[in-house]
Amino acid sequence: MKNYHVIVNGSSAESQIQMEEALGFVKSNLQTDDIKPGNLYIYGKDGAPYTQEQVLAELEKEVQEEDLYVFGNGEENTAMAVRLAARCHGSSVTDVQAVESSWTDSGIAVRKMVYANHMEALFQMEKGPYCISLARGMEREKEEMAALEEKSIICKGEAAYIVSREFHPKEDEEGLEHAKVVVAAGRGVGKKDNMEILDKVAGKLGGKVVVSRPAAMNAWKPMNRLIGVSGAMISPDICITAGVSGAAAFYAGVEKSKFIVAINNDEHAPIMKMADVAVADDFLPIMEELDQILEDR
Amino acid sequence: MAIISREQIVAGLVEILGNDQVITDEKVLKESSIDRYRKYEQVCEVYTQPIPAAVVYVKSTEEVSKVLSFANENEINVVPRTGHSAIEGGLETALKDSVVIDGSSMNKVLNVDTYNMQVTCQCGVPLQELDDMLREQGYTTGHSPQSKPLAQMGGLVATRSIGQFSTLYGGIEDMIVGLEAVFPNGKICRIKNIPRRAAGPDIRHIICGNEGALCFITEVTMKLFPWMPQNNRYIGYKLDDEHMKLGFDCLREVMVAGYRPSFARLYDAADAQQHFSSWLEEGKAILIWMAEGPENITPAIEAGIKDLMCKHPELEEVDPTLIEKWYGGLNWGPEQIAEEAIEIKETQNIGITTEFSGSWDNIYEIYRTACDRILEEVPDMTLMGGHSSHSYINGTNMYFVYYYNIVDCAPEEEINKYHDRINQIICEQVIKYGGSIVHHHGLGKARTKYVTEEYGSSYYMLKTLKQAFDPNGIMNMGTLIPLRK
Amino acid sequence: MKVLGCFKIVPDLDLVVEEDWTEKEQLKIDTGYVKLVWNCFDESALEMMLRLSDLSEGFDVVYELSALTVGKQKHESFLKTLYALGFKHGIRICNEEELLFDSEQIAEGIANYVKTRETQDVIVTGIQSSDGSNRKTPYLIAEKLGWPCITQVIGMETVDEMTLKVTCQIPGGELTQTVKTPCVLAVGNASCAYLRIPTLKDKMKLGKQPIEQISPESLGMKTVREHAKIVALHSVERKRNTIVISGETPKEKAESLYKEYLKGRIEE
Repeated sequence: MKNYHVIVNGSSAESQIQMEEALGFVKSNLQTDDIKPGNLYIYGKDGAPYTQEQVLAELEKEVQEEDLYVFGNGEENTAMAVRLAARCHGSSVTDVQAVESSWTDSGIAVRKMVYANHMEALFQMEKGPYCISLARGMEREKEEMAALEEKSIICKGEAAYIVSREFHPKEDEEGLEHAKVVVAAGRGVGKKDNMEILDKVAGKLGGKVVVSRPAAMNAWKPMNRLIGVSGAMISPDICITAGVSGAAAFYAGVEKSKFIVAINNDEHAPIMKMADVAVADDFLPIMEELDQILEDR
Repeated sequence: MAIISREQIVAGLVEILGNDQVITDEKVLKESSIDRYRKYEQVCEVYTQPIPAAVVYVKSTEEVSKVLSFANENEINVVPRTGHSAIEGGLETALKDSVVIDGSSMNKVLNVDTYNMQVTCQCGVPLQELDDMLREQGYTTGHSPQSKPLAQMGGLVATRSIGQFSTLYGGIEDMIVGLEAVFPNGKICRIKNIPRRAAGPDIRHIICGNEGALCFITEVTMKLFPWMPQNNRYIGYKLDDEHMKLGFDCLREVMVAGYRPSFARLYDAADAQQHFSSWLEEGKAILIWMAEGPENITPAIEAGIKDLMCKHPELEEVDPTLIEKWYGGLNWGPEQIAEEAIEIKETQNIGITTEFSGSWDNIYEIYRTACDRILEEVPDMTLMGGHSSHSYINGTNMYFVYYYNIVDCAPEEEINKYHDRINQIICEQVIKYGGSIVHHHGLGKARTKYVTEEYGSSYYMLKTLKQAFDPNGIMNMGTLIPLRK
Repeated sequence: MKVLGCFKIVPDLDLVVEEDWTEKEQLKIDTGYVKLVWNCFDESALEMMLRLSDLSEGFDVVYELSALTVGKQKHESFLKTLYALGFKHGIRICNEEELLFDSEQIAEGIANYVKTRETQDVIVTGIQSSDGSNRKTPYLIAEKLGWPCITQVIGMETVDEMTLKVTCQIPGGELTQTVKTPCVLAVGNASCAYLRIPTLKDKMKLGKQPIEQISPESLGMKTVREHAKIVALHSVERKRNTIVISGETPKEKAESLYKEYLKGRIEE
């Protein structure tokens, strides 16, 4: 019987997210009969910032030749997955999105994006141990998976090649790049007074109001709220555009939004074909209604 | 210069247009004081030109008329603008307390008339949106300049622009039908839509190419053409860079033989590497044609061009799909501009283009001698190349593409140390050999100082036009006619 | 200190025409017509090396910069550019076919070059290439040489002949470590994203130095097996299929928008 194991960096600022994403991956990809849960390896839980080499030396001792080792997302995890496989003469694939087919005699097949996210490739991993790191943004699983047996990895000694180290924490800026919700105003908003309703709706959604270039050039918002190729490129969960026509310069800035809503009174405006959901109406009454709905909620 | 104060200018404009349409935000004003001629200043956010008193967004021809009358009475310099994609200084506010009149809010397509094959739109309609909309219906304006993703109809007519398919469709002067424009005294003039007339001089050409120095264009009617990309044929040949002279001759042969491809280009080796580096050897120039039109014509053009070219052993044919795919991915747009700005900041390396035209008998000399002089006289050059992209029966254009590192130089000094100097060399060589210093970007402000040499004795006519239509000197001063120092 | 920058020349994927991003039986995309560019992370790595060398004045350290690529004859112009920028050695492992999903092979070649041809103190390379997107090469090099490796490197500073100060990004901040050589540095999202550009004069003067050409066979590359093999390549549907919200009044439309589309997404 083969097992899968999850490896998490307990000292990382992202360790909780890493763990949840890894468990989410396990839940949606590895609930088959031919593979069983193994260990949840956590290193650095004591806060020790181990080097890759220190952790690898310990992991190596644990590795079972035919098992699957799931590392989280991130460069450190990726490096460890690749290096562990190399040390143990197994195979590795990074940024994995899903397991395609369960176990066969010729190993395991996984999917990942290649060509800078333009194409998806299927890789056959032919030799165990099978080490993978995960792609960004896996569905998260919050519940503890009791099935995995937690094991702490403690490394002894210091890494000989490190003379000294200093950590400089960086607060995540409250920048546009990190906004979960944005309301984007375009030329169709008409005048500065109309920005008020957008501010209200954005406020209630916990988001920020941003502007297209024509709106910025009308000084409806300061230039640092400008979205698009001459401003910020953002990838919020929700982007609601109001009175935006959908010029390429603007659209490039919101293209990576998970969900785009377009509100424009011109049903032929280009943005109406670039959004997930389109409302062909004046933005003002729609926004006023939306504000009311959010108020009542 | 204005006879009333900056505050009075703003107050007067607010009275005409209301608060919402009169912008006095400092950042907006600064960005509106220049165009991409001062690309480096723009990137560094260092502004050396007088900052305008206001940017006003006009919504109707009547508003334009009122604003112009107000400016005319108070001798306020105005700069007409639509897409803000100018690159020769045409949008610089050269005088103190100027007002930028922005027509980009006038963005309605008024009439698509597929029976008479013409489309009427307001000055602020973006060409990209217009042509995309037309193509969906099986039509095109035939106008496809590189500025297409940014440029709007008013500016395209004002600068006498030209597109990549000009060899078939012509420049914008061949595409315009009727026009509407407003003169500084507020007078609104409409020129009706007719196929041709011989009732006096073609007065559309007082408007087309006026660069905002005579009037403000509010409405444009353009011809329509059927859009048949499925018939396109691509033809390409490579040749050694030493054979550039032959390259020009090949362009000429095709034109003289009577073919009308839509696209006719000759890239020298330096410029070609910027586009075709994956398969074209270093040191190779390249000739490209595209035939566009009805399905029985494009194969004939292709065969005709190949017939002519096979007589030159110096040429080697290239796989047309390489050209076709390159053309398909040739997307210059706002993304590229934004990325370019970051790149300039990071590398202190900047790329500029300057275009001119020449007859078949002098184009090569101008190209060769200007390149040689620039490499000799200007420091820190990292690339010097160019291409011909618009051919005529009697000559062609050349589009210089050059890059340089900005070394030990304040943003304010860049123009003097590099850009103007290169411009000067090109203009001098063009004038010396008898070409035109401007092929399609407009004179703007940077090249205005050469206007008397460019025009010779006919400068009288240009100057008289300016005096007649803009006696108070309020229209985009410093463009077309040099400022009196 | 001897620093080797390993880079890949890749097609500019932004210029690939839409219809070429489709299923491919031959397990690769036709990119033969688009222009070639530095792989972005490698470009950062090379610029970082130049800055390290620029800023070493006043320290008693001399950097000897080399650059290596596994690639085609066509790619030598990039090595010439590096010569013009002050690199001392340019090496090409001559491989005319496209290597996309062959990290083992490439890492083997680079590791063996360092072992058998010209020893180095530091190897700098980007974390991944745009086309293959493998994210494996620097880590495999480290394993094959038995060197430590630091990833997501965003800065390098001079300390002395035997040590370097290396800054890397980790979740929550930046880690600056002083490390002994040898080591492999995998460069990530560094702020110096662009390589400087040599003047035409420098290209004439320095760009003509000979490029060392090595066959992949002599570095043992052709006997290496990839244990993870690509078996299929699919296109991804990315177009948004716009749903137009219907409704008589703005109120109805706003309600439908909120209930059906926004509510669930906000509460996530």
